[in-house]
Amino acid sequence: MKEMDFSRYHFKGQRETEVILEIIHRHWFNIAVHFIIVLLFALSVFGSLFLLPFLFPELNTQGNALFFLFMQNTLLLFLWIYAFLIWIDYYFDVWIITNERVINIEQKGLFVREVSELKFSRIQDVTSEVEGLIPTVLNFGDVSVQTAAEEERFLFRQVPDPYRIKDVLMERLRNDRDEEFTRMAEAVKRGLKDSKA
Amino acid sequence: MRSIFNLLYLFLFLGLGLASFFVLFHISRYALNKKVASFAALLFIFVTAVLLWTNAVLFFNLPLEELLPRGIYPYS
Repeated sequence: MKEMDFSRYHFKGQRETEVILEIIHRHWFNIAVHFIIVLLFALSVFGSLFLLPFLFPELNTQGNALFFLFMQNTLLLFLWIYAFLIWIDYYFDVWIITNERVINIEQKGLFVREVSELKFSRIQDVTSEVEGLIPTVLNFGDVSVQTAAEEERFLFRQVPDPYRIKDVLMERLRNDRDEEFTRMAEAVKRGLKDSKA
Repeated sequence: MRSIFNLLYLFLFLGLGLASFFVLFHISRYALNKKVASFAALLFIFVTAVLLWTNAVLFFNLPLEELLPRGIYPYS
């Protein structure tokens, strides 16, 4: 798989030494389901623009035609803004894996935004789950991260390629533990040297 | 009567304007990639402006006295 370059990406609260390894959005199927509904509405608006004046000739009088266009335009405006709200909910719902931690930014509509983070040292177990026909075919599902504390699990919801994400997390976890072990070994060595001296 | 419709339309227009402002606020403040943010913001501003402008033009050209029954619009 092609390695992504995240050097152009930056999130609020990113530390100077922190490097982004992965930025994960929900699978495109999640937004496609919502967008299909919006698209069908938009198509029916455009379709009625040609069809309704043909079926109801009274819509062709100047006053009625203006009112009809005004209603269609207003509907399109609502649909357009609604489409962007769906996109915001999708695009700003994001999981970021850095070399130091995992960050979950959850966007719920326009006025609810939750940001939580998890250090690798607190991760105990990572599980990936693909359930259902469409998720199996399109390869998306959940990745849940069990932490040491008795708090709720860290959940990557409906993300693409959950098995790869699990591998990325496990590899990062192993590296983190190796680094921690090396640090501890060096501290013990230093302690022994100091006690001998 | 026309002024009541104008007032109702003003509420609709302001509501849509406010929703658009919050959409742009989110795009500019929380986007992780500035390139995507700029593209999305420009697309949103352009289409929303065109739709809002045509909407206002259509509304102010509506012949309300012709469309509404005489009981509702007594001054026609």
